[in-house]
Amino acid sequence: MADTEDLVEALKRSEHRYRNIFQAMSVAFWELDFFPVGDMLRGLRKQGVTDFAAHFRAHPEFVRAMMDATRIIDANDRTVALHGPGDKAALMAAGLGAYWPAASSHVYAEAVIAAVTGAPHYVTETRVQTLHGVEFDALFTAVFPPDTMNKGTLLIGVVDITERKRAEALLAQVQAEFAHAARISMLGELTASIAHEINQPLAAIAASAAAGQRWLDREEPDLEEVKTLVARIARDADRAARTIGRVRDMAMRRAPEPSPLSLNGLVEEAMVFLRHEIQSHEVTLTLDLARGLPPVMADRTQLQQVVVNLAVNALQAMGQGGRLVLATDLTDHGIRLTVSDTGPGIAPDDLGKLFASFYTTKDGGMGMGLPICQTIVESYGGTIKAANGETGAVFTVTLPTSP
Amino acid sequence: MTPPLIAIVEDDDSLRESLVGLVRSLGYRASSFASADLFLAAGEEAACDCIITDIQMPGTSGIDLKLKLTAAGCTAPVIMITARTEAALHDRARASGAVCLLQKPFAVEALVSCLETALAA
Repeated sequence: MADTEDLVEALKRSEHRYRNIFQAMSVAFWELDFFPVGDMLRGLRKQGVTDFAAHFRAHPEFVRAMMDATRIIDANDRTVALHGPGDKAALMAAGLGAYWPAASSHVYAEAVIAAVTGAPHYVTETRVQTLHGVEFDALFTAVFPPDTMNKGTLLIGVVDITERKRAEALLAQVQAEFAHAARISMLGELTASIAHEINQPLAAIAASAAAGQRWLDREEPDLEEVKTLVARIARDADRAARTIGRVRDMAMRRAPEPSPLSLNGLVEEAMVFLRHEIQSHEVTLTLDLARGLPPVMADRTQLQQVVVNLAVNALQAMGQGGRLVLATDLTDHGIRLTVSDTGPGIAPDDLGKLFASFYTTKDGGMGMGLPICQTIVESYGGTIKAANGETGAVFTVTLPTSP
Repeated sequence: MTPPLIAIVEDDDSLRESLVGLVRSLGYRASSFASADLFLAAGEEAACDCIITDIQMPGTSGIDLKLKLTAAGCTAPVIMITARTEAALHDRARASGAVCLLQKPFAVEALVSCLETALAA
């Protein structure tokens, strides 16, 4: 008898401790009775439904019905503070569906699937709402302990991550703005090259137009000659327009839009940008681009910025003359781009600090180029490294391949 | 009488082609080369009456081309075109003996009158 009493006492203590934790945690906890949902799922099986996930996708109303059938057994104080109007009775009476925005229904469906497939828990980030319909970002956790699952009860935890999401969004915005500022500053350094890339086709257009005028002014206008010239004018106007387009893309301030990109195509495009710059530095350019590379996932303008920035750094390091090599290949870690020059290389003291903000070895440099390159590359899951090669500096960018 | 032959040395494809078109519309013959080295390799200096050349090109520059031609005794007038703005470069171009130096973007009429002056001399 004494043993039984001890056991009862221990159980009471354990229950008390659990209740204390349940109440005191800063996580919103819901204790739910899933039993009626189990009946609904068994009903589906009887109808011959085997793929619950597909069924839930096709029948959102069934997911809603499961929510409505889920009984709220208990909710802690934090839940009342977060979701409710400060009134636990009203919170519990409203039913679970009141806290799920339509766009988050699939999370409930996925949690149900996790439960019936025997997963120990299900965790995701989603949006839930208050009883008044105010949505917020939440870390959603459902725990399915085998012993309580038999009785149909399970525990759901909700953590408000609004602040974290806001901080992440702010950080992303600040990074995008810095990247934009760096692009503008880079365009400033490339003004002469850009002007040249526009002047060439304009000069060609002017010459072709003057030639056309002369053919037309002859006593017997030569229309065949004029036809050729007009086609040439159209082609050169297109070339100038494309250059303007590239500059505009670089100058534009907009949120990054990752898409699958050909790194080789991007490198070739960047070199069009730098053609005149490379020539005026009397530098020999070598492109050693591996064929058949899979695409990388990144924002076109931002990745372009990285390639142009590394190439401009190399040109400035070399001064007049030298060789710039851009090479791509596939490694175990993803697609690799190396930018090597024949300049003086990187001083040992500078190697560790190159990617630190406001650190610069250039007169008039802001020291923002490389840190921003690093931020961009890392935001796509890649890495950037600086080293000294046999002849000068070598920068290596590795990006994961796009799935 | 065969019309004068103008050699055009310019690495930018579209500008080179349009200069050929312009020269032909003026009633001259034209030959063209993507670099000074290709021009020299073709031995064109013996045949042409005037040369229009870009200054900055891969390989031999337009200025060095003129110096080589002078050294070899070729007196064909050379018109130079450049996008560069540095005074020192312009001075070097003039000192090398260019009959005309045109800054891109240049007025077509300026090139036409340069050509006429060069050929009349």
